[in-house]
Amino acid sequence: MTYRSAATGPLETYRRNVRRGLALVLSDRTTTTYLAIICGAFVLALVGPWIAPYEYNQTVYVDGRIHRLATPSLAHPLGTTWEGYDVLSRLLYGARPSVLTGVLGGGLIISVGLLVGVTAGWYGGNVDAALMRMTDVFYGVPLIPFAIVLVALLNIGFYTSIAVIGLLLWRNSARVLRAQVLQLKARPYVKAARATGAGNTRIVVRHVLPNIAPMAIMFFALGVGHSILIEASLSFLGIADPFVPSWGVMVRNAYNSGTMSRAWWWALPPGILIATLVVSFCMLGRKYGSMAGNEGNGTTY
Amino acid sequence: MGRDRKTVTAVDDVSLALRPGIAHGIVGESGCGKSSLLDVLAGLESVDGGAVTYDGRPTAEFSRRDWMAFRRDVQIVFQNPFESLDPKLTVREAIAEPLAVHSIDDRHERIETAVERVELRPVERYLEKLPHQLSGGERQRVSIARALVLEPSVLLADEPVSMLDVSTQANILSMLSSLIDELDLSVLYVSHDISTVGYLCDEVSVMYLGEVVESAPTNRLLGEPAHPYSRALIDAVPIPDPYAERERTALVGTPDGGGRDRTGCLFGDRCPDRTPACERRPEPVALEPTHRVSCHLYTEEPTDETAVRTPVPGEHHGGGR
Amino acid sequence: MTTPLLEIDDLTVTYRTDAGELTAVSDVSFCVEANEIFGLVGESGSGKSTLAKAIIGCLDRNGRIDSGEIRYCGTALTSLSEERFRREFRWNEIAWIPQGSMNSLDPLERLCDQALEIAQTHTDHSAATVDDRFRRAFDAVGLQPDRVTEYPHQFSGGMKQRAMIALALLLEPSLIIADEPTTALDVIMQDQVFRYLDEIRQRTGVGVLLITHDLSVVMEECANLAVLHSGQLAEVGPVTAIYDAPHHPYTRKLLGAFPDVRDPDAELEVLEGHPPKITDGGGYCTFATRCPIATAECETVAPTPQQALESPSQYHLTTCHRSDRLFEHGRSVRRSR
Repeated sequence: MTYRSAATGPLETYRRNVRRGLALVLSDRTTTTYLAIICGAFVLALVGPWIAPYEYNQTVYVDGRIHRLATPSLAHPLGTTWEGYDVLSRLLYGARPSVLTGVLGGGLIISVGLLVGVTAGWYGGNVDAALMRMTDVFYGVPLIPFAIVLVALLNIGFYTSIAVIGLLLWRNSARVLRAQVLQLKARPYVKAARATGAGNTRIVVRHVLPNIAPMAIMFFALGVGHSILIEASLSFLGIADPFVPSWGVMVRNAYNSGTMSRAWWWALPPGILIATLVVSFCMLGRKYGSMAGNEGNGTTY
Repeated sequence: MGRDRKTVTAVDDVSLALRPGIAHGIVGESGCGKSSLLDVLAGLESVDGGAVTYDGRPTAEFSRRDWMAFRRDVQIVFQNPFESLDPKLTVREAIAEPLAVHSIDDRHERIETAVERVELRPVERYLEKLPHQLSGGERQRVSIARALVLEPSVLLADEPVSMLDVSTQANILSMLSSLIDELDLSVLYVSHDISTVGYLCDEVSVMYLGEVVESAPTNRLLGEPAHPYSRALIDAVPIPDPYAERERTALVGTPDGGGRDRTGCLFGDRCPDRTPACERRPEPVALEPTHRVSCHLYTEEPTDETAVRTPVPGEHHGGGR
Repeated sequence: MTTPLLEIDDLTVTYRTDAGELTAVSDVSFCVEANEIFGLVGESGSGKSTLAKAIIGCLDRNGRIDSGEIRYCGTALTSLSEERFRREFRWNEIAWIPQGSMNSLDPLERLCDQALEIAQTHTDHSAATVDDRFRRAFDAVGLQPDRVTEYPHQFSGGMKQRAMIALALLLEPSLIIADEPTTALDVIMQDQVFRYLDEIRQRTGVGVLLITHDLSVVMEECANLAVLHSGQLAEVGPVTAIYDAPHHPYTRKLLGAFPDVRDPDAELEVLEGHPPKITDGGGYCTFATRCPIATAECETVAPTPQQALESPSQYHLTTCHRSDRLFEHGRSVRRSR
C-alpha cells in the first residue's frame, strides 16, 4: 500500500506513541523508579533460575541431616526453609512464575477489557446494552469463591488460575474504556473522520485505540499488579499449583509449616517482593495514566 | 476544475437551500440546534423527518458509492480548535487521512498544497508537528487544510473561529473568505456571532429552536432585520466604536427547550413584540423574493391593530454616525 | 487628585521556566478608578491574565513580581503579607472572576454553600448574613434569589457566569477583576451579563478591571483601556481618544480586525504571527517583529510611554518609537471607514 510508504501509516503513529510514552515515563523520577523496579523483576524472571545457587527444590544437608530453618548466613544469605531449601534460590526461581502470572493475567484483563469496552462503546445500542449487562453480571461475581469453584472444576493448575483471574478482572477496564470510547466518538476529529468517509476499522485503529492507549496501559499495569496479588492469595489459600514455586506459594509454605513466627527470613522476602512489584505496577499505571491524560491538553501559548 | 455544482438542502423543520458557490450563514444562540443541523447535513446523523437532498437526490436513497462521492465532496470544520484535531496525529497524518480514505495518490503534493493554502509557511515546519505544539489558530488552519485537501465543493463550518483570539479570528476569516472565492466553494457557516457571519457570508438564515425564522441576503438582514429575534441578535453584537449608542438586547433568559412543543410561535415567550396572534405558529412570508420571515408582524391579516409594524432601517444599532 | 482605586506602577512579572526567565509583564503602569470599567486588552500570551493574578496575589509558583508596585487605594499590595492580604483584601476588597470560571464552580456543592465557604474564609459573617447577601447579589445579576440553593448544573452557561459575578459581589468588594467573563458565551448572553455588570457598577460604584481579547466589548463597556502586547503596554487612554487616533500600530491593527455588523463588507486588518515570548529580559519593542513600520531602533531599544500627540486626553500614553510618524501618516484613519 502506498499509504504506508508515505510515512503516515498507523505503524509510524504507534511507534511514535510508544517513544513518547516512554519519554514521558522517564521524565519523572518516581515513574522512572517504578519502571526500574519492574525491569529488575523482569530480569530476575529471565535469569533467576540460572543464577540461583541451588535448585528450588533441592534439600540442603549438613552432616547428613536436613539443614532446616537455618538463619541467614554466608552460605544461605536468606536462610533455609523447613524442608531445607535455600530461600534465596526459591526466591530467584519464584520471580518467573510471579511475573508471568502478572503479565499474562494483565494481558488477558486488558485484551478482554478492550474488546468488550471498545465494541460496546463504538457500536452502542443493543450491542452496548448486552455487553454492559454482561459486565454487570461479572461485577456481581465474588472473586475468591468464584476462583475456588472454577479451579475445583478445572483442576488446579498454574495457567488455570491465571485464566480465572483474567476472565474476571476485565470488568473494570471494560467499563472505563467504554466510557472513553463514548467520549471519543463525539470528538470533532472523530466526527470529521466519519464525515470524510473513514470506516469503522480505520477510525478505531487510527483514532480510538491511540487515544485510549494511555488508559489501556494504565489498566494493563493495574491488571498486572492485581493478578500477582490474587495469584498470591489463591496460592495462600491453596488453590494454585503448589509445585510451581511462585512467591505466593512460598508465603503459603512458610505459613503452613507453622514456623512463620520464628523463620522470618522465609516468609518476609517473598512478601516484600510481591508488595514492591504490585505497588510498582499499580503506581506506574496510575501515574502514567494521569500524566498522559494531562499531556496534550495544555494549550501552547 | 470542471467540478459539478451541487446543492445541499435540508427540508422540513428546517428548510434551507445552499446554492452552489454561495456562502450561507446560520445564526442563533447556543442550543438553537445549529450544530445538530450540520451533523445531519454532513450525513453523521440520520434525519427524523424530512429529507436532505444533495445535487437533486435525497441522501436517503444514496448507495454506498454515492455516499463516498458525497463524503469526498462535502467537508466539515469544527468549532473547538482543541478537539478538532486528533492529539495523536501529526499535521501530515491528519491531512493525509482523507486522501487515504479515498485512495488518492500523489499525497505529498496535495498535502503540501493544502498546508500552503491555509498559509502555514514554511510548510516543512508544520508537517511533523503534533496538535499540542500548535496554537489555536494554527490548529484551525490545519482543520481547514484537512477539509480542503479533497478539493470539496461544499464546506460545512461550525463556528470555526469562535474560540480564537480576535486577531487570529480576523486572519482566519479573511483567509477563509479568499479561499471561498478562489476554490469556488459553497459554504454553510454556522455561528452565534452575526458579525463574523456577516463578514463571510452572502446570505444569512436566523435559526431559533431548530427553526429558521428569517432568511435574507446578508446586507438586507443586517440592515433591515424583520424578525424580532433577528433584531435581538443584531442588537446584542458589541460594536467596536465607543460613539455607537447601541441598545442592550431586550431578551432575557435562554431558549426554552420545551418551546418545541408549543403550538404558537416558538419565540413567543421571549418576544418583545408579542401579540395574541402569536398563539398560532406563523407561516413563512416573503417580504422580497429573497427575504423570508416567519412572524405574525408580517402576515397578511393581522388580528390586532398593533401587530402591524414596519421595521425602520438602521433603527436598531444606534444608527451609525 | 484623589488616590485611584488601583494603581499598577512599573510592574514587571517573570516566570522561571525550563526555557529560562520568561518576562510575562514588563514595566506596565495604569490605574483603575472607582465606578469605572477599565478594559485591559491583549491576545493570548500578552500577559493580561498574569497581570490579574499578580494583582490578586495568585501568581503561579514559578512566577514572581520582579519590580514595581501594585497599590490599592494607596496601600502597596506587593509588600503585604499573604495572611494580611487574604484577610483584608482578597474577596473583601478585590474580587476575582477567573477565566473560564463558570466551569470552576464546584459541581457537587450548592451555590449558597460555595458562597458560605468564601465568606467564612475571608470574613466573620454569620451564615444568615451571607445567605441574605448572596440572595441580594443573585437578584442584582438578574437571577431568582430562590435559586441560590441549586447546583451549578441546573444553570445555563450565561446564568453560571452571572452566578460567578454574584459570588464576586458577595462581600461587597470595591474592585472586581473579570478575566474574559463572557468569552465562552454567545452574544445574547454576553449582552445580558454586561447589562447586569453595568447596572451594578452604577449602583455601587464598584471599579471593574475587564480583561479581554475582545476590543469591541471594551469599546462599548469601558471608559479607559490599556492594550498589552507580549507583556509591554502598547497604549493606554480613554477609549474615545484611542478610537479616534490610535497611536500604536498594534492598537490600530486590532481596531481593524473586528468585523462590524454595520459594515459587513469591510476588509479585516490582518495581524500576522503571535506575541513573542520574552525570555531574554526584553530591552526592545516586543511588537517590532510584527510591526509594519519597525526600524532598527525598535529592535534594540525598549520604548517608554509618552504622551500621545494631539490627543484630547492628557492621559493617553503610547509606547512606540514611531508613534509621531504613525500619527501623521494615518491621521484619523478610522473616521474614513
